[in-house]
Amino acid sequence: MQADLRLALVGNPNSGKSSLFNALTGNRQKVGNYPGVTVERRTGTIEAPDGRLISIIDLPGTYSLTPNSPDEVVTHDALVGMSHLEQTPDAVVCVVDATSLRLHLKFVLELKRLGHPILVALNMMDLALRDQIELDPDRLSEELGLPVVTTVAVRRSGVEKLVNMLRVSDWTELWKGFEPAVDTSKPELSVRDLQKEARRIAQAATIREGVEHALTRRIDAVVLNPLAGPMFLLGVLFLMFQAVFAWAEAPMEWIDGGIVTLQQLSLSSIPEGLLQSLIVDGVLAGVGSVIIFLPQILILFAFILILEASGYMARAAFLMDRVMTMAGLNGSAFIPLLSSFACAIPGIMAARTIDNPRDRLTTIMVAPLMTCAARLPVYTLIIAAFIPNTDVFGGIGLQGLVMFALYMIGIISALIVAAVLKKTLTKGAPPRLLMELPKYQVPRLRDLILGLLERARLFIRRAGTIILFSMILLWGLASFPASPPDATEPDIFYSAAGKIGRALEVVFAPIGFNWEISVALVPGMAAREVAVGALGTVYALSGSEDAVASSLATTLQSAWSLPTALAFLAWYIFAPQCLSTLAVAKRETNSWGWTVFMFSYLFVLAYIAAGATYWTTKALI
Amino acid sequence: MMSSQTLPLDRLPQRVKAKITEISAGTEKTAKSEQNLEDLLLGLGFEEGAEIEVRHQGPLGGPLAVNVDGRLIALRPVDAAAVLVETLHPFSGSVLGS
Repeated sequence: MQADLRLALVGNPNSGKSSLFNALTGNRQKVGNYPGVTVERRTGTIEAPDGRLISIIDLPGTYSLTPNSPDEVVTHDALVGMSHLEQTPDAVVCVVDATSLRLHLKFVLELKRLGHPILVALNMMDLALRDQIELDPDRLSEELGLPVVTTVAVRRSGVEKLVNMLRVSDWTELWKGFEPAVDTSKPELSVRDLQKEARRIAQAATIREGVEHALTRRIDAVVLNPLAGPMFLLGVLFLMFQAVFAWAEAPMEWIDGGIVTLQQLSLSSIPEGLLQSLIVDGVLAGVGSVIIFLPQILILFAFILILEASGYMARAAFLMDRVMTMAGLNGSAFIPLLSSFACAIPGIMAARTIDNPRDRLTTIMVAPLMTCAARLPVYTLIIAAFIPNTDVFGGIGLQGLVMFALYMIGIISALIVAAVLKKTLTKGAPPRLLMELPKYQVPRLRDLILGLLERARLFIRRAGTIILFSMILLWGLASFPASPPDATEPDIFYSAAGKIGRALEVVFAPIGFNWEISVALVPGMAAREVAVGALGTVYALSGSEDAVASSLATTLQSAWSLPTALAFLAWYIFAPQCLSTLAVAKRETNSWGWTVFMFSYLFVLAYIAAGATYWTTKALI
Repeated sequence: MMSSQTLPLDRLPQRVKAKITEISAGTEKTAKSEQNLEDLLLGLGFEEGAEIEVRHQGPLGGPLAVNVDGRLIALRPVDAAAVLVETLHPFSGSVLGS
């Protein structure tokens, strides 16, 4: 699809650029990746009333045009036409934060020298109003020699205006009457000259300076307090994990009910035989047991998105900096690691904001130790089956506490491994911490919903492709060859899957795993949560028909001993099996050596942890 | 006696308003592969003449959160040392002795 106007959205981080992009394109946006560099690439197309198409690309936020990080390289190259990935835009919309005019203007001035037609979107006008800042957009336009439009991304106010400006019959008309965008007569200006000019323009266009956001200051007085701050952070994290358990309960039961209904429907409508078995035991049991975790994953993502959009995430990095330094990392590694709680893949990708290559590598290596959402299905299943649902004290449930402990063990291990790595393989000077702590904002509901929809789509697509495929493959392996007529064991025992499982059992028996678990670990390679689906398939097939109807948790209660269950949990804190994580690690480190290293160290840790858990528990009971 | 003092940012007590007088990142600590501290500071709005105030410090001697012309920026004391500031008003209490 050829667009009539290619528009690039640029601006400083925290300028509200992404909100504006969401307001412009809504759900007609596409999120992808730049090949090779794994910088997120967001594009969207809007249609003018006359049918012409305007394509919009949201370039990564940057403070300057001096490319310092992969993000900034993408933006720089796209703007100067050096990019082989992106056509040079016809025009640029530069998003400027009205509450921080001077700093953002420096970037506009820098941008101006590239010679693109620029439209300045004076964004966050609502926040400027809140802080009692009064600006003169006309004066700003005059001083900059560029058209200026005021916007509030959240309320679509100004967004319409912006779109309408772009719908003029002739694009060049928009810039008529403004000075030529590039002034080549002036010699190269230094950063300090640009700053001086930005300061002058900001002063000229400011009618009233405004007052500092009092609420931000009051919140920070508590949240950044050396004592109260960490307590608050711990509270937030704890609330997050309790919520994942408590709030997701009802929707999970609905999904479970739906799957059981579908299974019964299939049992009664499809004649008994191979097809019925494939649908009921393979597809429905397998995919169903993974889809059921969608509510939990969405709740976790909702928390992370809200923390990020509200401005708290950067504060968390600030508070954690000292602890992260002890592990040889810096506070900015906290965000990639926190994202890894959702999934190691975005976490590993977020690590590219770390400019020091050694730290980036260390962060990537330990990211899989943060408990990702895909491990939740495993934890939930085992905890529900083996940990009694009792209150420890004051409404805090034992199940939630065990979950919290599992997360904490992951975090502590990550810090230890990082510290060891930084002392050995990725030795180097401690990295720097330098970042803005943005003003607090109420997260935009639209951005939150768009973010969640995107995650839900990704998860369902995984369930529909990788997971479905693994389930059918596993079902095939579990069903063929058929058991001999004089069988004494369940059918799956004689199947190909059973044979693989029993072969692997030699490796896993010392840490308390039976052959059913060993079988489930094989498709678990594709994605961690598949292991649960695989267990569903293995036990549905190996038991009576009633086993299909009864829940997997109940089945496991009778099939596993407590030491085995706990060993399985311990295994999953470190579990190396997730092909997509390894693939991303390979792409991000661009090294097979480091990828193999990641897999191996995780495997060794998982094996030791599971073994230690098994034998300790066995000795205690 | 009633004059203002010039001191590195990491020595500026919390909640004392000051103005940036100079940014001079020593080159001795920066390895050539690492980013230039001066550029980074300038990019975040640290510039001569800007108003500055230390607001918070992270736990266990962690990073500083400083307000630079209305923006809150987090940086480590070791990097803050590259920013020289001049207090706007004389203040009580010893700085050099701390």
